[in-house]
Amino acid sequence: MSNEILPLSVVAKRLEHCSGYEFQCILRTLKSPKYVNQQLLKSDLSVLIAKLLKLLRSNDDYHVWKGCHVAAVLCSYNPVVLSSHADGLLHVIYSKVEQKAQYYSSTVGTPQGKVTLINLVRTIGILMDLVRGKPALTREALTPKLGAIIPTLVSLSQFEPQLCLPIIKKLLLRSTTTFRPHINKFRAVLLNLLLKDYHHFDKSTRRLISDCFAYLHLIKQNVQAKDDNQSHHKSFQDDNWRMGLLSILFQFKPVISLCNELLDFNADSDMSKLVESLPKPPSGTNSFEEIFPSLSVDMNSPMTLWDIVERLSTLVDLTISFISVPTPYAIRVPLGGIISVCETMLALTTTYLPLQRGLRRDAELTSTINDIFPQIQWQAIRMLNHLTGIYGKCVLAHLPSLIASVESFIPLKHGSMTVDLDRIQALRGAFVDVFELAATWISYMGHSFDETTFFTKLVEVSLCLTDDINPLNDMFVVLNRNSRKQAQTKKQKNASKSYTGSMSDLYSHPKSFVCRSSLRVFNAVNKFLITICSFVRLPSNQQIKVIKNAIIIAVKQKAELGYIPKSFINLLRTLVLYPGNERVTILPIAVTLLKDCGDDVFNAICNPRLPMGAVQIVEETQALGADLNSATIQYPEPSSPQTLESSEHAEVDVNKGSELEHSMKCDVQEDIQMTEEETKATGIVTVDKITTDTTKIFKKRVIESEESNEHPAAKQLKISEPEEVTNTVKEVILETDLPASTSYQKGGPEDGDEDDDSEFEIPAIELSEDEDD
Amino acid sequence: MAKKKTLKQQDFQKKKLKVGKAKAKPSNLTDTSFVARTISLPNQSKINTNNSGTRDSTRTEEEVLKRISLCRHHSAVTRKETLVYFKQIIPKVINSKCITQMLSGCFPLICDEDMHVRIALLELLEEIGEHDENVLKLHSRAFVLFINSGMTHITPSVQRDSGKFLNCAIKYCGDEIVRSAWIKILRGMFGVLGWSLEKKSSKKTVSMGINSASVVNMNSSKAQKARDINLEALLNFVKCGCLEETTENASVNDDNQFIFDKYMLPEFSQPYQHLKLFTKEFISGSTIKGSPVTSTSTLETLSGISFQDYPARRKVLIEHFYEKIMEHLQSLIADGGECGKKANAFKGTLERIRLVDLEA
Repeated sequence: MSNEILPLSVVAKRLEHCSGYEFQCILRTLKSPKYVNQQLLKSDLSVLIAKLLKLLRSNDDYHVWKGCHVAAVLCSYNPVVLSSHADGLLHVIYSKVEQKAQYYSSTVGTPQGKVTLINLVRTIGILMDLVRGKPALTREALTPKLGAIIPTLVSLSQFEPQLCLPIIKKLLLRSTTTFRPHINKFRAVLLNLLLKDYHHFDKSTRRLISDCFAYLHLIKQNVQAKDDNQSHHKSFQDDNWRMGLLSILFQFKPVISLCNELLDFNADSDMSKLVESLPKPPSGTNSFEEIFPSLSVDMNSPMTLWDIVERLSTLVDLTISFISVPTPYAIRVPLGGIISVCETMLALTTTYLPLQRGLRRDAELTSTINDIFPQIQWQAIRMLNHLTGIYGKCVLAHLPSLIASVESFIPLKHGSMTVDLDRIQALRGAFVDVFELAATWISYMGHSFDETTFFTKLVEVSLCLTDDINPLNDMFVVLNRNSRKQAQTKKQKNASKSYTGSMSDLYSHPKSFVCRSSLRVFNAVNKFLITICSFVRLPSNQQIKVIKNAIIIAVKQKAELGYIPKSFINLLRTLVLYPGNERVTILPIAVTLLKDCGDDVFNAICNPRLPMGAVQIVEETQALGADLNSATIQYPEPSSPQTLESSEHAEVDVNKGSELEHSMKCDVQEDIQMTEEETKATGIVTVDKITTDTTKIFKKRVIESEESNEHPAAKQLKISEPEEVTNTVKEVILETDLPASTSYQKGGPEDGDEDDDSEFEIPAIELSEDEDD
Repeated sequence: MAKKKTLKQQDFQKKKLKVGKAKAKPSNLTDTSFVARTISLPNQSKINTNNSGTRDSTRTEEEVLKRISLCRHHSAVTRKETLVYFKQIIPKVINSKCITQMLSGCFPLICDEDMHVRIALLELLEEIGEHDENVLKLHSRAFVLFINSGMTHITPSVQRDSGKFLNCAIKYCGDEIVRSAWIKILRGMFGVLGWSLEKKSSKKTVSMGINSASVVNMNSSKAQKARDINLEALLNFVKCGCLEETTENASVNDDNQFIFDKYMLPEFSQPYQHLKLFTKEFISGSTIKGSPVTSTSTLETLSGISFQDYPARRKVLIEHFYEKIMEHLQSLIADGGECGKKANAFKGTLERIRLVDLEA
């Protein structure tokens, strides 16, 4: 960024007519902190704001769109503008929104109009977020306008829930009191959305709707007159919230009881008990409202049975919102009630409960019944997932019964305990949630887990889900059975040919019709398998399947993508670190697979090495002869004072120094330099006793040609083990007087002064200066 | 005109055959005769092998390689003599390359119809095991294959003797066999002993049919003796697969060593064979959609799985075989005799296995 900034007058001039990339450049320029200047406020900034307001008031959608972006950028990056002009900008933008919302149908008739509306609403949201939290600004700019903004947004939310509900949700949470007058209207809008259009929206919008419905209960409605006789009872802050949550929970029982028309609950006594244990409103009270009308289900049109699933799904979403959204006060959650609802929904399965006797057994009804109950079970699993994720180990007390309930979700073959892998593919999405739930439970329980049948079944399911789906498998089997047809007439044959299209590819290229498993499924499965293998000792045949699967798919992914995805690397690591009952780990295979990119864990296993800076003792053997004492090299601790005199370790006293290389001497000097300058232990050798003249020892070394050769030796010095020491041994040996003096006499002190490389030098006494004096 | 007529008539005149002379060949005859020549090289084997000198070991190996083909000789005496010869030279060739070819040639004789050949083969295998059991461990896969083939053989005598070979296999390479062929061998031995694996649909009905396995179970002394051996083989197999050998001085250090050993170079061959990374497995009938699930189909599915650890093997034994074995053992115990004693011991072992499984 340059020090000179673009004058705001220029920006203001260009603002109206710029477009495209120029507009983007202007927006980037306006981010500059150089414009945060109160002195500019009365001059350039005011011109710019005037231009901006003109754009916002314009009838041209494009100008309004530009104005929204400029307003958002200016207020976000310029506190001066925000503090001074937020009020005005908010007013103008809100007026525009109101105008657009009033004529909504004509506004969204054109795509430009729709985009402009979206930008206006988003800009209001951004401005409100920026203003919120600043007391004076909130008081002066935001709060007075909320009374007008909220009803507009509430009306608009029935047409654009995805756009308006995020802002309304924040307003409900942060400006609860201000929202109070509009609560009824908003409630009506939300109920309309819940009852009529809920499942038309995408997942995020549905979540917004249910969150906003939960937040309605932050505001107390129908405040009853306080009874003096009950005034001694403490009232909780979350009374209203709890009433709302219980209202939702009480609506599960009637819907589940409806399923008694399809499944015979009386065949299983436990089922009857579960249904009785469902939360129900206390008799004689009317304080719990019923949000949803009664369901209308007709056995003669089996498609109406799906309304049961729809209703339960909505109720589960609302419950999840009530227990998961942040609240300004603590809430009391009826965990037992929610868990009993989940267990009851999970018990609704045709595997363990027979169909009602009176039901007619036609294909449409039976297949619909077989399809709806797994979906009901899935809703329960979703709720358990959120419950476990938020309340963590609070559900541990219910874990044994929950595991048994979730196990009933796994489809089994008729009359046996083996998993029906054919029906697994249809429930792919549900099983991803089951894996997540199981992985969370295992991580909570750790290794104290007796239950293994559930997890072994899940492992089988997970391995099945990693297979590619070949929709043609069944077709060829069916074709074989139908091959014995009577001869058709030529006309019939021609007619059948015209309907079949070109079927030859099915036979010649069946592999091109295969649906590959996505990376998302692989990641979910791998995460589950990683947790399972870490905490549970699988039977050997399952462990073998997991290992084989991991290796084969990792190789396939490497061939297709060019790399092995992270989840597979983690799975391979886990399989190596937790081999289970295997006699040998797959370490060589894993290392080979990850040869290209390498892996830290496998490197540490294959090449174990001590960390640097460890204390090591090198003991010299008798290879050097009797003259050499055992040398002790010890690296000082960082806190110890680093002086030569304070060192306590014996040096190697060498009498026959001529046999040793000067490089050792050089290393000593260098190391001692480091010792005095740095406090951390970097493998510096300390010398205890100096037999020679220290001044000459600490001269800068003359022999520099050997330095480069000796650095590896120095490094070896630091991590060497007590081994045979030869003449080129890695030990610190002080040289004797003679070699040192001879080497230094050649150099002389003047030469030492002229060398530039040394950082440290204790100069010898300079006789020349004394002589001058 | 007369000349022309004569020529035309000549074409249609049948030529008379002359005595002592061959029939005249037609003018358009194509000669298709040929001469085939062969060269026989009586010393061809000497050309194939390396002439690296006159070392005894090389000559012995060559001799072995020459005699391997005699294992398929039509005369049982020749086959037997070949096996006896092999047994004699085992000390010399046990560490040579020809041992693999020798075993490849000898294993099919497990299904040989001559009793003496089988006895000689058993002695040969015992000799190999005595000298170096690693050889049998290396070739355990082929060994199990032919034992299984023997257990399902149509000839009753071959079936009866399969238990002896199983005993030999358990003695020298029991660990490898129980890991790779647990279900297969169990099913095979059931067939040898004449025990059925199917669940009885109704206790009231009794099958009067004679299946091939029941032929083995006839009341002859030979059959009874074979039954004792086979029962013992089954018992040894079950013991080897289900009961771990625990040492008295097992300590924490041993546990740590056991963990570290998993990361070291394995001491056994083909450590990843059980993963079947490079084998193509066919889809079994039980996995086809719509096929009913029976105990046999379940066992077929399990046959393809290797059981590497004791708990898994115990679990499968108890789940699929325990009740049936106990049923048949009861009747054997009731019969008494040597077989009854072995059946009683078997029963005790099974109960011990069940206890161990429950404790685990």
